Amino acid sequence: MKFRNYLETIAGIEVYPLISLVIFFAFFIGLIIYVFKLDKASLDKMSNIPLMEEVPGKKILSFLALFLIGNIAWAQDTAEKKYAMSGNDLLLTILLFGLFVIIILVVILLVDAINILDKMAHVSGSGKKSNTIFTKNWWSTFGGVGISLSEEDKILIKDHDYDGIHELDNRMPPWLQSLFYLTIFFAIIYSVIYFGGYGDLQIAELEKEIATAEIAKKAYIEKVGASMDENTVTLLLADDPGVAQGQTIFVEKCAACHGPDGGGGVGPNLTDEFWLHGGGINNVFKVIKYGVPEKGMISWEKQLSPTDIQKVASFLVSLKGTQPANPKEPQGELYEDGKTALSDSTVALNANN
Amino acid sequence: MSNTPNRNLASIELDEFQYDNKIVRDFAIATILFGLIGMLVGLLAAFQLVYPNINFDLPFTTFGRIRPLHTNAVIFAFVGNGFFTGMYYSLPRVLRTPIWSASLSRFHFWAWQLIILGAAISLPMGYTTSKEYAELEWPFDIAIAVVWVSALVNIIMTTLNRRVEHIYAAVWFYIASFVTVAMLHVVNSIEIPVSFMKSYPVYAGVQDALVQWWYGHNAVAFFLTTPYLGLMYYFLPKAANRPIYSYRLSIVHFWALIFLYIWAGPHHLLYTALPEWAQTLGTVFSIMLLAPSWGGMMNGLMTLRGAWDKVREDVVLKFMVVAITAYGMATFEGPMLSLKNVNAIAHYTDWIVAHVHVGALGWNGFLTFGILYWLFPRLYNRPLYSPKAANFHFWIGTLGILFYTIPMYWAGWVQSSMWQEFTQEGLLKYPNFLETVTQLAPLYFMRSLGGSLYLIGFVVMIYNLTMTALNGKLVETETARAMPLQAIWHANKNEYWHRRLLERKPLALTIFSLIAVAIGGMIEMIPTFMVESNIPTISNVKPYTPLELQGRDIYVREGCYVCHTQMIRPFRAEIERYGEYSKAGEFVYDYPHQWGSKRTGPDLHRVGGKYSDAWHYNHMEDPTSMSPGSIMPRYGWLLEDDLDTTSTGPKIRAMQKLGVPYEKGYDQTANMDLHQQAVAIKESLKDNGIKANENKEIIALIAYLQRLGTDIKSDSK
Repeated sequence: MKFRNYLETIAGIEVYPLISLVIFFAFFIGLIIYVFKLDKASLDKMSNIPLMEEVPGKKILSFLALFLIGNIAWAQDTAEKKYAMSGNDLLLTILLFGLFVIIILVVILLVDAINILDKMAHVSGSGKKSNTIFTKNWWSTFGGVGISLSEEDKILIKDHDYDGIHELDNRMPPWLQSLFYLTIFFAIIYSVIYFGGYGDLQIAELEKEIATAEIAKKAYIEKVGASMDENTVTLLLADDPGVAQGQTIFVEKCAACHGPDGGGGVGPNLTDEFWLHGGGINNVFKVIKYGVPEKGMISWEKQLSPTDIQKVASFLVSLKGTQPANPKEPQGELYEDGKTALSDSTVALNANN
Repeated sequence: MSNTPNRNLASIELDEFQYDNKIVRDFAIATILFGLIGMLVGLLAAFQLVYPNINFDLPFTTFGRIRPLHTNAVIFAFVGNGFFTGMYYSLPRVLRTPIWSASLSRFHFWAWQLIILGAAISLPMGYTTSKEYAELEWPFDIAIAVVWVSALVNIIMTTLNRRVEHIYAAVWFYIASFVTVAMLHVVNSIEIPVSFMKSYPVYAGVQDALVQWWYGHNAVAFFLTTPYLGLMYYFLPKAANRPIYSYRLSIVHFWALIFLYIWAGPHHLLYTALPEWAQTLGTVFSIMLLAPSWGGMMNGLMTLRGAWDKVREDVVLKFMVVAITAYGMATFEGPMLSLKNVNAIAHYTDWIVAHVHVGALGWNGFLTFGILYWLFPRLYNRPLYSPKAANFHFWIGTLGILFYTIPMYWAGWVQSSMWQEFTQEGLLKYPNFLETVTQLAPLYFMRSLGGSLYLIGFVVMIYNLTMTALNGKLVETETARAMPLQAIWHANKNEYWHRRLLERKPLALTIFSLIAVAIGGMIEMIPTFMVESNIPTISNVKPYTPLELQGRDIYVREGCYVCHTQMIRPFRAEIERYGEYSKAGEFVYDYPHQWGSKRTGPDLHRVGGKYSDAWHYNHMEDPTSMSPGSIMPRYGWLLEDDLDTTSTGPKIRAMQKLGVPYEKGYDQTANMDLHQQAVAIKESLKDNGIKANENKEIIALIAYLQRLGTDIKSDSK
């Protein structure tokens, strides 16, 4: 559907299409006002003007036919492209619809204002009945207060008396009735979109969301060069500010299991030379990143960025040989620096998943 | 003409009869008493979210158990009794006949209060079905059905014995409410008893969720909305002394409302594993509900046309105007919340809590107060003790509503934004769920203050009404006279069809309203139950082991679903935070479902395997040890109490009856498997330096938590 693409352009280049839309509507407003203001006589005169010298009906029919053909061709064009609607598009459509309603309201108000002006101009004239639509009376009827309090007796339902409660026979306020029709119309359109396969179902919506996010993420990482994994990670030196930041993260997120000074708790002691899944920056980075869920170490991949993991891992490596308050007994194997083993099978298994 | 004699009858003798005010007074007292208790419990729950310690580490006062107590108390005890108060006063008067059976009224009163008392005891004890707003266990369900149907019979018989031709709008609402609630309650409560006070529903997973929210939504509709609209149709014109604005509008909005309301349930399940056609139906019918709901509001507000000068002075009308306005706001917000993109933001957050409290505090609360202030001077035949105090109540109550709802809207918006915010690196900005909770503490505190203000007003009302009663004397019965129905019956053939067919014939009205409300539910439920493609099977999903099943029942008992959902929506932010989105086929053995509706804590559907057994053990003993700052209660008793393994056999047998494929005779051997699995968990805890006995409840709960959401993971290996 092409209309939708126009919407997108509107969303893209901001005001210009909106201005054109307003001009477009202003033209129609002018036209409508003109028609309403016309005398009935001149209207009759106009409708009597023959369209063509020959039979007018034929021309109109051919015009209609042309219009229909055009429409069908247009429908074929759209059939090839599957129309999909995301939440944002829906919001945009709703906004546009709201705009449309506002414009209609403005039209009504304008016509009304012109009427009032008109009346003020003709105030001295004879009680000529107004031949326009949106009079004050129209508004009160639309609002549901068409019948004044003094005339209420006329619409009092005579045989309704319930413990002194009477009922009036007012009609349903037209504005409320219109609202009801409007919501039914909305419901039909909404159903067509989602039952007709035009709207994205929730899984399609999700796939799009992820795809968009991936592109943005990739672009950002390329820009700042923040991509890093367990093979390319480098150890930050002890005086690097990153190590102190790593400590902050550690205290916030890791201390619950490993103790505030790394002495261990539910999790192992991180200050000794024994490691369950290998020491050194690469192994520690890997364990933090993927976790060892079987043993209770959760994966932090989704919570910490690669640079953050690097900081925490560097901080941990710097802990070696410190004296925690309540050290847990050593677990795992003695790890010596320089032994670049990424051999632990449990972690590797998780990394592959 | 209902009050002019039929010309064919020569002489008319007026019937003399009595209206019973005692039953009205009794229900009014129950309304006030249970209102006070329900709100106090609510306030306790609200403060617990700021100061978790005020549950005193008792099982009976933990949030998961008292939140259902709060909702049940205010819905069924406060609003329920409020409805009955107004109904037993207005129904005989608009029908010009006493209530058909005074003893059935008495039975209704005492049985209803006994059920409430039972709820107040059983819910804190942990006897719950975990179906929101229908938590009471099966013996209560049966009692409720009996009481409800007996009251329905009483109302219909009263209507049949009326002395007016044409039935007034208020009565339509009363009858439709009773009929629909009966249907909702019975369908939602079909369950298999396992033991006294324990049952499993016959529905599992997706179906259970659909039935539950079909019920849950329409409990709001037919317990909190239509009964109160009925009350509005009586008490508002009485208080304002004005005719009802539009009879035609009342017809349109009544039928449209009851027909459309019933379909809207699935809007509680947008973006879940519920089939999407059902979600779409839920959305479109919610949108169409706007105008019929506002029809009620308009008929109320426009009835005050020409009486607005009275509103400024009469406190009864003030309460009613705010109530009707709150109704209008809540029913505008409802359709908006059922739009998918709005729902994606608001669902599971405090926004919904704010939304329901606009309805509960504003519409139900204020209308009840208005009615009580109007009623007491009439019941006790003296003016209200202190109109000034009533005015004070009005203002502090309004202030309370504002202080309650504004922080909650804010909290909902803040938390939802925090859940969904990503860093540029593509990671969640607030990966730790707790951060999004601690952020809300000041707002929770302000909410509690708002609730306190509202409660202060309520207490002032109690004082005012008590003094009114003490200084007056109860008018036990009122005598009235009217012509018998035969004398005034006009079989007018030129009448509109709806008058001839429905509004003269109570039974036809009852049956047609039942048909109107049955259609939507059937169209949504039957395909979900019958068509297999709606819930695609996943071969890896296996029944729970006996230990997990027992753990699950502990999860249910403690009301974990009150704060934790088990439904990961297909959003990037949720997948990133919790893991793969939840699929319909994963819940086929979940009797009952535990999807939940509010995330005060994180979703737990994929918590299995995320943490170690030891983590869970420590976390249950004291959540702050593993998550500093957590507002979750401590569950120390799970570490001390022994698991009741005698129930394993009956539970397995009940599950087999429901179609869960346990081997034949498994109920005999299930406890052996249970023991084996428990020992394994005990060993794993021992490895981490925790000494625990394998027969404790905590072991079963850990087994269940570690199983959650893992079935589809075994697929990938």
